[in-house]
Amino acid sequence: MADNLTADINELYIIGRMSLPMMGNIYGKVNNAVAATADSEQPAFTVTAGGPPSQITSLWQSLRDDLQNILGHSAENLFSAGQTVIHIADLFEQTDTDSGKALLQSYWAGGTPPSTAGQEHIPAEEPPAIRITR
Amino acid sequence: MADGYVYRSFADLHALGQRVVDKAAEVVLWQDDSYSQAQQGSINDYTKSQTPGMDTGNPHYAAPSSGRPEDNANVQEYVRQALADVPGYFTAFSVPDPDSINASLTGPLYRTAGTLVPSLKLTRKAGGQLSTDSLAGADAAGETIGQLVGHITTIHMKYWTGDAANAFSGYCAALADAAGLQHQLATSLAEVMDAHLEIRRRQLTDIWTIGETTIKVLDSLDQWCMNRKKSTQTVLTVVGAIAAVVVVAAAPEALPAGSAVAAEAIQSLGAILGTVPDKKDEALSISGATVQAVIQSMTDAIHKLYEYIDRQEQLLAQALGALRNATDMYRQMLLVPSPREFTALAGADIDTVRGVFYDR
Repeated sequence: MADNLTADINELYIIGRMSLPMMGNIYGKVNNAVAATADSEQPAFTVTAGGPPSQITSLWQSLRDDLQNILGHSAENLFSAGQTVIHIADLFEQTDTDSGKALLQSYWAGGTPPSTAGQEHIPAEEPPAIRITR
Repeated sequence: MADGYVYRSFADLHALGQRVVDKAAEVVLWQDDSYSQAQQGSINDYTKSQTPGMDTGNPHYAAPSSGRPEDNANVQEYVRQALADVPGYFTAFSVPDPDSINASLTGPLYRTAGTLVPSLKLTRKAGGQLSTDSLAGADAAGETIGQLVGHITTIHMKYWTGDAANAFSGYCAALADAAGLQHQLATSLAEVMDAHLEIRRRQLTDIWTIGETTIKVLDSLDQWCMNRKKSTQTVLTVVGAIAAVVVVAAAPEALPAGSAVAAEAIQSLGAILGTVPDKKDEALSISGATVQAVIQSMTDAIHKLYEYIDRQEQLLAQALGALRNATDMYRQMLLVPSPREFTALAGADIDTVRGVFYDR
């Protein structure tokens, strides 16, 4: 049972330290990319010189803002979920046997514990600052 | 992008309008019927200008400072005054270079879509002009949202059960569907902007064609045959702008299994605009037997161009309206809320957690 628990706790740490932060970083980057389009959008809506802006201006801008916020909040939710998963893993880790704790520590000593899938790893990059627009 | 497209600046368009005016003033002198009309106009406006309280037919009219109104030089000047607004007809279509906007506006949206769910269709659509490379960067190491979700739900959470654990697994699984919907929203926004910019390119092409055709028709007028109408067909390409861009139904082929329902939630722009007739172009003729008739025909063609541009913009606005409705309708699927059973564990103790997260 202790070995199973140790292995299962390890899975939670992979989720909290690797999978969710990796997803959060992806969402942070696309959030930033969509936010940056606002900096160069104004000339795009010129239809005629000196005339009113395009009919699509406010519709497009509001949908773009919506997309930016959806991506930004997705990133925030993922980072927050990662913290919660780590908290849960920490609680279970405290209940594990000494040998289980030692085993878990050795798993993570090299940075690549068993059961990581695909290219899962601890992100080296700082999470991007999320940009939410109103 | 329309074949043979060349960006035309405000200065280019102004110069073209001025060439139309110069050509009209030149042809009036040797084309008898046009000359007669212009001379009569010059005389009429001169007479009106000498009568207090009477408006001239040409709002830009200024009485000649020397000679009589029917003199050649004054008739020619009268024509220039009558056509003083023409360069403005052309510069009204001046817009910032659509290609310079494309890279900073459309490119990031396509890349966002391709980062959330890689799509070969997106790569093909960009046709090498825009990068659709992932924005995820080296740190994502090629793992997509769908793949990372798959690792969590099929491997890492396999032995974690209980209400909160199940809710968390469900949340993760829903993220894959959300990524598909977000991909579609980003793609549709990029496509609308793409089509909008293509309309801008084509309006520049069309106004240029109208100006050049007008000059050609003016040049071809007969000196003597007053009733022989000259005509040249000019093709307005702006009507096909949306059809030229929105050719791909943007459903990503790399959506994770089980995403079929969600993938249909936001229709592709191609589907929304499915009723748009696939017009390639619209032919108009610039024609007339006199300078005045040719210029009138040019003005009609320009009004037609405005009308077509407006219609295309309306279609895009309708498409965005449909996209807005879909976004509002599927908001819970686009932004998956973290389940309460799970978030409640953020500060919980082991006894609470054990009951709902490791229920065995």
